[in-house]
Amino acid sequence: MVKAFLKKVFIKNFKSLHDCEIDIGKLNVVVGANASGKSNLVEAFRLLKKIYVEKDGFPFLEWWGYNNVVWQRKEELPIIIGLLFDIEGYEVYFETNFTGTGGRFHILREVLDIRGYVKFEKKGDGIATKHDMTFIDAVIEKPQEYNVSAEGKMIINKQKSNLNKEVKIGWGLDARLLDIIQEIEESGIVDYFDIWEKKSAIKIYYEKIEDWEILVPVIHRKKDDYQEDISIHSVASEIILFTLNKLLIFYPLNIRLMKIPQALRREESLKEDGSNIASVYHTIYLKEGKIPEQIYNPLTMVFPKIDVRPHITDDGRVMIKFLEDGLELLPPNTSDGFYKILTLLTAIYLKPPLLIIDEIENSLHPSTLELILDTIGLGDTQAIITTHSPVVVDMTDLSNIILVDKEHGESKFKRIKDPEKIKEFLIKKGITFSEGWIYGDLFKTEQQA
Amino acid sequence: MNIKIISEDDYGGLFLKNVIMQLKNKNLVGNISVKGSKPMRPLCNLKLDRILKSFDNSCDKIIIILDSDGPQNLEKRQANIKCHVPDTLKTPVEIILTDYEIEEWICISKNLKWKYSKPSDELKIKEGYIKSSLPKYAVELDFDKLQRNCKSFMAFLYALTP
Repeated sequence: MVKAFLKKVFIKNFKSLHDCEIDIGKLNVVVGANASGKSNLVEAFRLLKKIYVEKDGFPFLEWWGYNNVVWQRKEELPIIIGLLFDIEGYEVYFETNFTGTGGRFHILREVLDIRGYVKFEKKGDGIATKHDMTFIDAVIEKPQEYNVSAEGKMIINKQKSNLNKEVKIGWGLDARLLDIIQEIEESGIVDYFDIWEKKSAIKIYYEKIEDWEILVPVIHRKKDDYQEDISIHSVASEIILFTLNKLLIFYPLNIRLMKIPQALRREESLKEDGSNIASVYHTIYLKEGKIPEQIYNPLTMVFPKIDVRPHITDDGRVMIKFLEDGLELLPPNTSDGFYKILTLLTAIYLKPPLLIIDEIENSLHPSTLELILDTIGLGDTQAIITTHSPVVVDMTDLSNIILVDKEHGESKFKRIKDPEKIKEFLIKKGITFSEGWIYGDLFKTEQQA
Repeated sequence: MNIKIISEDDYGGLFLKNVIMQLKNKNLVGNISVKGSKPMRPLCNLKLDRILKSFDNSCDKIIIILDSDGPQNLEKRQANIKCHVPDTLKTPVEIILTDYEIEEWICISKNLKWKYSKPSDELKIKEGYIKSSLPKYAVELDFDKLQRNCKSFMAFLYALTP
């Protein structure tokens, strides 16, 4: 699987996020006062999931209507969410623009922009493509730099006028851009021409569907035991859909529900409240034939004498049974911390492309929090964590902190511009980072934040 | 001798405890008892000062063992850590820095080179290593090789000498 790295999030008109641009790294710890907008960021991702994964016909119901999620209840405004990814070195931007005005949800506009190459835009039932001519011109002018054959150059030159304009094709009003691109790729009406091979092992092909002409890079990927060439826009749409599909959000965990035995079924992804942990844990246990090391090792560091087993109840449901020093603990006698840690470690084990945890500190001892944060930081998953905990803040590198503040009712997300300068400042003052954040006005002055 | 350890993360702390156990089994160190460990990445914040103050007078020695992420960073890291050791501390503190990271002890023991990567990456490729399994690797260390080829291991052994 080709990997995507989320670099930036753009949100407009969603609750207190009027116009936000947030840089995203591998580990992102979002800190701010109550009602500053931390949870709204988490909710924006939940809304995206409702729209693109659950295909919810009216995704605003949970918030009691569109007027409760749109900026300052201005129903005439659309909500816009943009995600900028790095996919194999390509900058790929996906944007969705939607509304729920009049009690009806519909997507107004979607964009998939392979920056520097080609942009797809769906408005209503039409899709327009527009090429970035800088790239096309560069290839025509210096074909040798791109290892373009004479034949390749001729084909591109011939098609240049077609590529240099917006071409519209009709599609269903309700169809989603990312799904359409997948459908086109899978439908087999793609006409491949290998016309050159870049030194970087990237090929470009010419694709023609009636009057729809697209020139995009192709990337090589290993699929099962063979290599395949696949267009970057297809990879991008597939990966963005995958990211949204596998996106794991904990908002917030409900330990009371986790303790109730669950219906026995094969489940491979955790719910937002973690209530299906028993079922997911059971699936993993059966698949691996044991507790995976990634879960067992950190768990036994916190609880050295603990054993965790899925257990089928007499009525055929599944629950988690903890054994502490050989003593069986049933859910009512089990600490909430056991469940929380097990759920977080299971989430990390599942390797979602993006893991979002709202208020990670709840039910966790500071030392356990340190272990969990280390485990997240050392894994492959990108994570966004909101917190009020000084422990979390103090063990996070300053470059991973995102500060949220509300200015005139708008949430503003800021990264620390010069972490080294802040470190020096803190040492001089003799205070920790969390002390500077909680008791001082460390990030309120422009030169420090 | 009772010691306390400050390491890069909890997995490193448990690994070092296990290493000490192995060293004791092979009679390479005396009667060492690890009374506690705390993770602390070199973030250069005052948390390290606080941990050291809370460890003070509760053991015979504090060993700080952290990564350098490349020999070129050794001096700077050393200075960064040193400035967080309070002058008022009564318990002796030993600072040890690995050239890259603690996994280099495992790589050296197994003759694995990490010329173009980090030791942990090399282990991932060669052995499917995961960070949480670090403590288990203590039994796989080759102390003869480490004593010949690894400065940070020698410094650790020296720090364990009363």
